[in-house]
Amino acid sequence: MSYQEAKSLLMTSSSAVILGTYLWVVFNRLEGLPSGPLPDTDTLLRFWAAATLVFIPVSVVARIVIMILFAIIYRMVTGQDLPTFEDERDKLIELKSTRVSQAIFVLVFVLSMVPVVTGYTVTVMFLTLLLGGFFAELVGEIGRISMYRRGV
Amino acid sequence: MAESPISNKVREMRFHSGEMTQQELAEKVGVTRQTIVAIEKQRYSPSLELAFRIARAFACGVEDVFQFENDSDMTNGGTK
Repeated sequence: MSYQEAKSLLMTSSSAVILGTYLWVVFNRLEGLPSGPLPDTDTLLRFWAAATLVFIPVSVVARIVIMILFAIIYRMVTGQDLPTFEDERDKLIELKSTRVSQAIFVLVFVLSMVPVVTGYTVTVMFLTLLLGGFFAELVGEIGRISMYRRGV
Repeated sequence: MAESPISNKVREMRFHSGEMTQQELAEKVGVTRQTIVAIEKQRYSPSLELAFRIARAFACGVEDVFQFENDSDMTNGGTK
């Protein structure tokens, strides 16, 4: 398994762990709200907006830490030097996998409006966005691994 | 993945260049070794710039290293 493939697998699994942990914490806090687990829409919107704003920097920092640890461990285990640059093939694969992820996320964004229109709470909308975001990333990473293995 | 109509003699050219390693060629042309592997296995068609760099590394022309195999498509496309 090449460095890029291992990195893709790690990115996907770390995303799953980070999102799972985040959702566990968020739902515990949601149940602990003074107005109960089913508050009014304004309170829910404020809650999810704050939770999302916290999630972004926390997930970025967590990923950076995981990538640093991965680089150290990968070098120790394989004894290989890490790639110091991205060449044209890496950039092309990056471009294509990002395009796939973005296309899926746009679809998820539109789909996330459906629960709101059909009378579900905004919690369902945010859950759709977060899980859909993870799904988009997952498909993008699978595509990336496939392109590294089978060709661009 | 559709088979590329572009074939190459990179492996052969490396052999005739004193058994140049993939890593040596990669360093000469400024890409990773994995990209050279992908080119040799015809899983990646390099950009025109990279094709020229590879040809220069072997001191020969681009068409000595890379061949476009689907000549019939070329002819049909050119006459339509």
